[in-house]
Amino acid sequence: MPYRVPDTFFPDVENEIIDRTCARHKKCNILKVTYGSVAVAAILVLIFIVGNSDDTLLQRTDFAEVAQAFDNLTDADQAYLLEIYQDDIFINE
Amino acid sequence: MVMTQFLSDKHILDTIGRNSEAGFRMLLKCYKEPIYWHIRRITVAHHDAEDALQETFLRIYRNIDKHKKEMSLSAWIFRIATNEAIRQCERRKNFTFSLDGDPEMEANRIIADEYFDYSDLEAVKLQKAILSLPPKQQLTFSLRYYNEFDYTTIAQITDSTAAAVKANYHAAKEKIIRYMNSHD
Repeated sequence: MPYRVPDTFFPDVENEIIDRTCARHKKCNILKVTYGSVAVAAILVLIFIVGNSDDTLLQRTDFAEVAQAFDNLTDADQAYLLEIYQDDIFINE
Repeated sequence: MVMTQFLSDKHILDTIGRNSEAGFRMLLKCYKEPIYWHIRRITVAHHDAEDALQETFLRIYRNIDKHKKEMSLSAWIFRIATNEAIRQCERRKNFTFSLDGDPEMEANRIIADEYFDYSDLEAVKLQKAILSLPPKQQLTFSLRYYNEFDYTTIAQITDSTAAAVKANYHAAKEKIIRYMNSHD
C-alpha cells in the first residue's frame, strides 16, 4: 500500500486511546460516587420524613431496613425519589 | 492467518470476561494496526484515519459487553471501524467514499495527503484503481484482498449478503484489472 504514517504513530495513538478510556473510567467512577452520595442523602431524608410523620413507625424501622427498601426500588423509582426529595424545601423545616 | 486470528480473538474474549480493562488493552494492541489500515483505505487522509481510529476504539470500549456471540470479534470490530470511517468521511465532506467519482479526480485526491508513499508505482496505481470503484465495491475488495476475510464475514461487516459480496468482489476485480491494463 502506498500509505505511510508518522514514525511513532502506533505507540502514540495506543497511549492516547488508553488515556482517553482511563479519563472516561475515572469520570464514571466520580459519577458513581456522586450518585451514591445523593442516594445516601435521599435515604436520610426518607428516615427524617418517616420519623417526623410517625414516631412509632421509626421505632420499628431502622436505617438498614430503609436502605434495603430503597435498594429494592427500580432504578426509575430511585431516580424519581431522588429528584423529588433532594430539593424539597419542607424537609428541612 | 484465520486460525491465528480466531485463537487470539478467543484469548481476548476470555480476558475481557475476566477483566474488561486488561482485555481491552489486549484487543487494542492486537487490532490497532489492521484497523488503522482498513480505515485509512476508506478515508485516504491520515488525519481522518487517526480520528476515526480513536473513535472506533472508544466505541468498542464503551460497548465491549454488547458483542454478540453470533458475530466474530474481528467482524464486529471491523464493522464498527467501517461505520466510523464512513462517518468521518461524511463529517469532513470527503467524497472519496460517497461518490462514484471520476477516476482521475479520485487519484488526485490521494496525492494531496502528506503521508503518501510514491516509491512503489504499482501500489500507487492499484490504490488509484480501488479509489475509482463505487463505495461498496471498494469496501468489499479491500476486505477481501487486504484482510483476507471470507464472503460471509464481509457480509457481516458490511451488513450485506454473502452472494451480494461475492458479486461485488468479482465486479471490483474486473474493473481493477481493466484499470491496471489501461493505465500502463
